[in-house]
Amino acid sequence: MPKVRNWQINREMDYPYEAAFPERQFAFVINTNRCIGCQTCTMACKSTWTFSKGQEHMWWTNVETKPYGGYPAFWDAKLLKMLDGRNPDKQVWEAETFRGQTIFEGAPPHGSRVMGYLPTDQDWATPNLYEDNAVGPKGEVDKLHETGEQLPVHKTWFFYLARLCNHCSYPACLAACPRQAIYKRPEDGIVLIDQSRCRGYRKCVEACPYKKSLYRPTTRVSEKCIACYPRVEGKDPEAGGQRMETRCMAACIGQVRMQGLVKMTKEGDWAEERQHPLYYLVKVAKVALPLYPQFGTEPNGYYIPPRWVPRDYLFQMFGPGVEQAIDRYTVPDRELVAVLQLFRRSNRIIYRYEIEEGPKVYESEFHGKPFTLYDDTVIAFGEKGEELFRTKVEEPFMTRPDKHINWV
Amino acid sequence: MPHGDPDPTDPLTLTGVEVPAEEGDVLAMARGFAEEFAASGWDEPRLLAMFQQPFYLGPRLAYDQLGEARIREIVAEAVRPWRALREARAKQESQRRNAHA
Repeated sequence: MPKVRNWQINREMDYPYEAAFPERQFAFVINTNRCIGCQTCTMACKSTWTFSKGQEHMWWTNVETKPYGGYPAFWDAKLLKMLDGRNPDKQVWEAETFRGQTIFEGAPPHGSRVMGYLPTDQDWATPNLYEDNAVGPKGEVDKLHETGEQLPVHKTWFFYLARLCNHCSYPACLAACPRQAIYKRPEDGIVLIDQSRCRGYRKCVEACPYKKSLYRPTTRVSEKCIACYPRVEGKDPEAGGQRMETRCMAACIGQVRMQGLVKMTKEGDWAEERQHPLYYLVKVAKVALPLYPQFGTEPNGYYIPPRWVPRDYLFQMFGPGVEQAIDRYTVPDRELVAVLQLFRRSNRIIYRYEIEEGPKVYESEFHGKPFTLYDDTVIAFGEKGEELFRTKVEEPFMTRPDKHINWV
Repeated sequence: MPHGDPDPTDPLTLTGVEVPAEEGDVLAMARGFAEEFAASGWDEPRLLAMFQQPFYLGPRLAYDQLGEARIREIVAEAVRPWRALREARAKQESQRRNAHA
């Protein structure tokens, strides 16, 4: 099996194909600290791509309440257990290097190319199982307790994990497909299933560790997130030729998501683009981390980890950068404060930002560390260098007047 | 939305899974809520109301466990930098107006 370099686990690993990288890679950052679990992203995707017959169970993007929630049920716990069973007590990190087995290395020698499992219909059936949801009086539909005292209470921590296809650099779905029906686009790294080649063997469904490849019984082929590629290409009627972020990103009312296209080197790492917001968050500030990097697919979705969650849980989920990411996020420096304001000020893809420095307005300690706030302005630029928007570090706050409280 | 008691024969009903939690998680969660919303432009009364609101489960949990006095401290600390920013802007604006007057 060819060896490829996976920078997220800091070593070479086995992968069924030789490495090949796109010019730019579809990537995104989600700030879990701000996600309120409203499911607007989920519904934006659903109403755009998976509203047809045979797609009822499909949620290309979803938000699950961790630690219990999952779609399909317990997807991550099951795979982690399988990997640990295959390589007991050796699924460990040594500093920045993962020494355990990835899903490619853990595959049985004469079986599937990737270690995985096929979720049951029941696993897919309850996307919101254990979601933090309100409960009404017993037996009464569409009614809530007026004072809320009967709501279920989480006695400990929880957080919302928004998920979609990670358009991995080493996609497990692509590796597992016996028909070679899955391909990664050379221009933007978006992973697609060729519907005319697919025969519905569901090897991709079994292999994808994030369970974002789904089988459609009416067409008998598999489908997955297409990264809203017409929008990313700038071909959406609204785009006017400018590249736009996906529906799930653009619809986010919590302003927790940012998606872009990062430049790749020939070796498969991100090329240095110091003023690219995603490059900054992932490679410079290092506050955004990949989801389960130990699976080995080099996912291109990154998460700012929730700061209140026990670190061992987060370490397992996001790898060894967690402590540093949370420290930097909790007491952000001047640049990070500004870059965080770029989230969701526009639905156009940002390629570069600049900071126009303003006066110092606050200097004190925050969580026992020095913190200084400047009244800076951050400016976002598009693909051709055009200014997309500019915004201050303080978020504009608007209250809808009573007269138009529910006005849309 | 569940309308009845959990059905023990339902294979999907969660039974006996424990997750680790440390002392201080609620405090970290409360700070997280306060600081994130403060950075989003919320002021002290609005933040305090969020913690008092029973429909906001997480903040209310923190409010019940930590008490109002502690929550007030957390909220005050969270809004301090942003209030300073607004005050600095107001001062700047007033100076600009005076210069033009």
